[in-house]
Amino acid sequence: MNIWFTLCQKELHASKIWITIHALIFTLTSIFVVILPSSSVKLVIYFSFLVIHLVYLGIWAIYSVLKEWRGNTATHWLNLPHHGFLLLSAKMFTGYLLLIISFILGHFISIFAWKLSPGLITNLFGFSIRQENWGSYFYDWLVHHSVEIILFVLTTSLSTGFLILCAVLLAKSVEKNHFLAGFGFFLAAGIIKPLFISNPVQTITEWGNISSNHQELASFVQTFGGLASSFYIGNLMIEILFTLLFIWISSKLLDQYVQA
Amino acid sequence: MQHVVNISGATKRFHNQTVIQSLSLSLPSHGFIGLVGPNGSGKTTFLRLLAGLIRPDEGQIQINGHTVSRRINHQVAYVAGDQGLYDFYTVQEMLHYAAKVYPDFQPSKATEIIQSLKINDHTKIKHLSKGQHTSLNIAISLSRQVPLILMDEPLAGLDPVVREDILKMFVAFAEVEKQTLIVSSHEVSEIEPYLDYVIFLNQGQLHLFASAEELRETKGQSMLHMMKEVAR
Repeated sequence: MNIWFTLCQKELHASKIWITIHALIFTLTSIFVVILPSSSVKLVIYFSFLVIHLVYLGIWAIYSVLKEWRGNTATHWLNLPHHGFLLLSAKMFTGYLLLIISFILGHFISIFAWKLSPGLITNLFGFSIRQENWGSYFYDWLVHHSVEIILFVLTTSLSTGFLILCAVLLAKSVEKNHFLAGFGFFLAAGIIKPLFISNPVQTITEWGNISSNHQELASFVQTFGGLASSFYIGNLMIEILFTLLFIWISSKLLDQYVQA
Repeated sequence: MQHVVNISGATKRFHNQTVIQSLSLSLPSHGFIGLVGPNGSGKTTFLRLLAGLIRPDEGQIQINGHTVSRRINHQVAYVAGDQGLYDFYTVQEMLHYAAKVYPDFQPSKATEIIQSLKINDHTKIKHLSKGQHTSLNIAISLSRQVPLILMDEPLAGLDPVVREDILKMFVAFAEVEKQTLIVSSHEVSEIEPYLDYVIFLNQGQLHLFASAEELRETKGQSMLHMMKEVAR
């Protein structure tokens, strides 16, 4: 564990620029969201915020691994006498920690910002909800579904992050066509994975519904199909299983196949 | 003689170009080995194969009986020619880091080497000169208790004074009675006096592997002269 913490500390040190830029964007956006009177813009910002955090760990994986190569520290990193899982988990945990802090903090700032100005609405995404109540509906939805949203983002981002990490390491393992190999893996896994969640036998995964059943919010929630469908523990389990598979593949790639 | 490295029929190609060709070789379990050869002879590829940083397309490489992969690095310390260090650390912090991540690291030896090089250990790595940077990389490798230490062109691009300091560091701190140190270099005449063995590579093939002393006695010529002959 001592080694793992040392590696995590090193990753934090190495990511000072990333953390600074992240903190700057986060602070400016938070101020903007809180003082902004328009609910529609707040909504756009919130969902951009969701999407960014879904792919955050993946972008982190690319940044963190490629930084080793660009800084000519890859040979040093690969020469560490430890299992690939240890090296990769330290890298990914650091990114995941930043994600957790950023997402949870951002989510509750959004709720706070929304509380300041509910009720203002445009029919932005064509939701069939009474416009005058829309703002408060969304506020209600955010508050009531906080746990599900946080759970969904933290689980999905983890599997997406390790999927992208696998793609990066695969690209570093092949002799040529690096980009094609990495992108091909990303696409293939990106196509196969949803089949386990949205398929004719989805009853297998749609169990353990953890979302509160707000009838009036049904159409709103349906608009974000992926988000709503993942409020099943069954679906989250699939995400976790894929994450474990990607962790295993990436560790194997680093130990046996990655070439510096 | 005990062997630390056993290579049988190793071949490595990059983009259909053969860089190492059917190389078979066994290396002794201790001593200072010079890896020489003209540019493009496959020296760097040879060292990277031994360090498990690249895979052979054919053949097998074993270190102390273990087939080489990245996981072999509990037996191998490798310093690449252009190897960076984490420049946000000070020298002292880098040594602390090395002490934590390398179970075989000897902190007291590392401190002794750094003191002998007169490098201020509070200096940030990004503020070190190229020579100090290389010296620190080498100091960290020499402080590891591993059977095999590999160094790729550690003297390249350094002024004569720093090159001499590095060679002195090898003599003073490399434990060649129980470790095998393989150093590739173009500065053949400078490293020659310190070598126990020499590997000559040419166009990806093993031209010669011999004891340095035996070579001098039988051929009666300097390694630089031999290297020039090989290059022709």
